Amino acid sequence: MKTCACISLSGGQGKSTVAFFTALLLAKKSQRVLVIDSDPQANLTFYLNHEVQSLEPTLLEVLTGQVTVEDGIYPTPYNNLFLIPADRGLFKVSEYLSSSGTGAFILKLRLKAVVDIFDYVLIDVQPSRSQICLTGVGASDYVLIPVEANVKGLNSLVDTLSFLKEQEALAAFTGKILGVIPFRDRWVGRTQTLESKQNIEAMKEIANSINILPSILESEQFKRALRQGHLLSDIGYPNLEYPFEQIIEKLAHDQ
Amino acid sequence: MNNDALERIKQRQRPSVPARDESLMSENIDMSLSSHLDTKISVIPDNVRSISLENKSPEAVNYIKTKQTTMRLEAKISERLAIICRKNDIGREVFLEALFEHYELNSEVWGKILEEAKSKAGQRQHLANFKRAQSMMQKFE
Repeated sequence: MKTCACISLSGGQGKSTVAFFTALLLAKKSQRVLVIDSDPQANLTFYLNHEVQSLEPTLLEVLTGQVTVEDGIYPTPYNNLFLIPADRGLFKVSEYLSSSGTGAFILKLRLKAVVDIFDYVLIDVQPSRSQICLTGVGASDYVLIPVEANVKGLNSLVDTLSFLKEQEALAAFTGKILGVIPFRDRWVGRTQTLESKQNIEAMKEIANSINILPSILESEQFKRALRQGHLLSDIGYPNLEYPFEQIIEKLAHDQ
Repeated sequence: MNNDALERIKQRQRPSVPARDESLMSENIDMSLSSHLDTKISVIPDNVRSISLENKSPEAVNYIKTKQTTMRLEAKISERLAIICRKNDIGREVFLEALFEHYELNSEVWGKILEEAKSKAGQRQHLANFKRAQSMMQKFE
């Protein structure tokens, strides 16, 4: 089982988008996928068309040990794709994680129970230097860093890399950065906008030796696919799916 | 094995949990007690009472060791329990502890409780066996 977190410390950088399309594509390729929504905003839970009931377990109860991890896993409308959902109440887990001192390790510990069931676990991490973020990162063999191609994105990248370095020094993050994914890369016809070009160049400088993966283009089709719960190839835009194909390629072949 | 495990997850009866508190201010006593590790509670909230505290020495009152386990209750019973606990502003753990300690001393009722528990255990085992058999049959179809 390979575990990969999508992390960026600013909101709106494309974490849920990357997690959603990568998970759907993996599942379509017959991989057994578990997605964990580790963000109280619960966008990924919503995209995957899961309605959290008030008395049903979510990631909160899995992390606090109120239920087993299996009790927190739900099927989704997609074959091979399962979800541990979140809702707004997830933010309450921070108190538990910090007081118990288990923030960096608890999700990793819980996932041991399903290591033989799933091929991939994708985690959509809260965009904040929080215990919730730490537990997602601590559980991951790999992290992907989606970054919007603008100044806000660049600041997010700097902050995120700094956070990962700190956690690595504390042995809280023991995984590998799979790559940085430029998000909302804007092209007009066949020409990349100057803003996008300069920002992606800056990403390469900031990321140094870390891979810059193929960018996710700015396109209304992503919003349409998310709204409808489909892959881009299913709505007639297979070319837009290329970045996620490359993520899967890297995940599959990295040892 | 993996495909069966996924089918079991799909068909799983999930336990009910207390309604999640989304407010910023309130404190959840259940949360502070439900730790993965054995916990020592150094301060006992005013609204938590236990019969077992009455005969303890002053030093021992400040130390209660708890042990975390996972409980799977029938969904409707869990909901009824949650309602009673919410109404009385107590966690289900202390409610069950009080129930247990109270009826343990009443041999007549205790016998009936154990009888009922054994009957429920039999029913659950029967259901688990049935589900396992169903799952095996699906695998070989």
